[in-house]
Amino acid sequence: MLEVSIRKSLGEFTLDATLDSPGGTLVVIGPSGAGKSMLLRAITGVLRPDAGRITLNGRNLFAGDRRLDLPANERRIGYVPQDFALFPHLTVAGNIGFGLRLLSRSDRAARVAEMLALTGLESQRNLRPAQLSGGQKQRVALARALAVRPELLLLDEPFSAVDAPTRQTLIEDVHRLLATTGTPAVLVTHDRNEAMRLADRLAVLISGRIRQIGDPSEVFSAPVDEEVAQFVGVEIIVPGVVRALEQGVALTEVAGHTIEGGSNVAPGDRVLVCLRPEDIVITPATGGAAPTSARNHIAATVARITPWGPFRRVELHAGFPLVALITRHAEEDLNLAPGTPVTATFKATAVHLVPR
Amino acid sequence: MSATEAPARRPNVFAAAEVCAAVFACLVVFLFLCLPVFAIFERAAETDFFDTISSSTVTEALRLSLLTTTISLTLVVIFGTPVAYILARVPFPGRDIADTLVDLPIVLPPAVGGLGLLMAFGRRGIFGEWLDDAGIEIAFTTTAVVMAQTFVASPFFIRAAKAGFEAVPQNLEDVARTLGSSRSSAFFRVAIPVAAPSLMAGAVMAWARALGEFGATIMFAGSFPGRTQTVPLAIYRQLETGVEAPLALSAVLVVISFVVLLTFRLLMRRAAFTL
Repeated sequence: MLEVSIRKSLGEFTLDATLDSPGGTLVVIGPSGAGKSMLLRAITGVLRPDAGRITLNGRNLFAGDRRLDLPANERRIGYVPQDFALFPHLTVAGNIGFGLRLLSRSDRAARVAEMLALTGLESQRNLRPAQLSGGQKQRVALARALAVRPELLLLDEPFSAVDAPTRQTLIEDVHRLLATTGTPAVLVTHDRNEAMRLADRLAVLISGRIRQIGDPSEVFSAPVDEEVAQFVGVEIIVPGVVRALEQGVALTEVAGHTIEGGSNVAPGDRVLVCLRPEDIVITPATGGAAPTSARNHIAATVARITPWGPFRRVELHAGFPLVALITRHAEEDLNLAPGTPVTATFKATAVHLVPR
Repeated sequence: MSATEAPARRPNVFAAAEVCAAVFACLVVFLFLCLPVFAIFERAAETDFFDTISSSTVTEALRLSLLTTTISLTLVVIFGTPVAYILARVPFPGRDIADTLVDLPIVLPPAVGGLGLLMAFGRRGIFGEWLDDAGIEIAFTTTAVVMAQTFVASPFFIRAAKAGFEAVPQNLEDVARTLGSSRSSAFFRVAIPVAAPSLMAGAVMAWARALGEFGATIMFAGSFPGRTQTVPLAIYRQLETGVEAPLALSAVLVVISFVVLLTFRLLMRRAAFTL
């Protein structure tokens, strides 16, 4: 359990962040310059906040009011900075063993071998960081941080320094490493796909403040304000399980409904179903359905209607949250109000599946 | 055909002229640098080199130079390293002034440094009187030689070390600390080894400067054989009695300097790693 509530000013910029994570992976998403790296540096202990409190699993790491500031080396928090910061004078094995000084020689060698195996770096063990690819560097940085069995791992934009094709594999690697070692993590990123893929809990950091924190699908589908919405995108993101594939197209069960669309998954996969509100068509629930190429028809009721620029944002209840973006004329023609039963229709090609 | 050939030939003429000019410049520089060195060996070979080199004046001067430069280099490294690190890492008011003060001995004529040391630690100096009362004499002793060398050589090491530490990303030490290293442990296990090539380069430059030290030493320590007469002072003083001893000393100095610089260069190539 991590609890953070800190304030830190550097020049014109002020970070004033409050967040908590019960375990698993907390993803902090925000634009560049939002204070993401600063937040992580404050949690590691290399940057001292002006005021506030940081606790980890009941231990006080920082308490401004009690002048308590546990040094970084006593916090048991792993840190993987954006540039990985591998020690250039040490080999891969030397980097991974750096924090294991207090172990006996044989214990240290065993732990290093274990981490090399876990990250698939055995054949690189005697190479220097300069001889590694971006993906390998990242795995060394992860192995080095995890070797000391930290209580929490902090990852600063871990996928920004690698090229797009390797990124997906690396995201999987990180996911697997965090899961196998059972290490709680805080990962900061500006990338929504990474956030969707890795977050058990999602926080949005904009201009030094945590604007929203909660379940990822909740944050994505119900952003608290327009600025958050602009950043996370107005997406419908709901968890589901793939039940079957029909001619390559997935049939995914979501809260009792079957949604057709998306591919490159296997039956039994846990996925996030992503839809864009502009792809959702609303028709009256009572009207006889005209033949259409759209494959998905979901019975829903209107929950709330809010102005959205020149449009109307219609939130629907269908056993899961659905959002449609429609014009004011459409709202009037359909006579929509909270409680109105409707059918939400969208094409199978509008469905995007993200593996969980 | 001729129309296309003409413009193509012109640059060739220029290229040939450029090559000639470059070769000429190289020849001039190499001759200018090599001739004096060659002359020393040529003339030294005409004398009884091995007899001269084993004479007491020469061996005493060599021994004294090796002893004093070793001590001054050690002092410069021990005290200069933390200073360089602080100048590179810790922002404090007046850092530019501190930086400039550290560099000052590079531009000051060594005689000014020697005079300053004399005014501070000489018998009539600011600390000198106090030291004299305590029965400690510094001026015109071997200690004074070490102090003069340390004074003129330290900036060469501190500058290089500071640049070396500045090139070590702060992140490396931050990560080391999250891996359980204290600040000082991160300094010794990360900052020092990563900056090692710069530290070595600075140490070699400082040692070379100390070895060649003349002006400050003669002002503050005098030129007493076996006590304060290092190789450069001996070369100058022995010239009064003949050219044999200065030639032998110079030849030895040239060989030592060349071997040290070359060894250092080869070592650096092996130790080089990219950040």
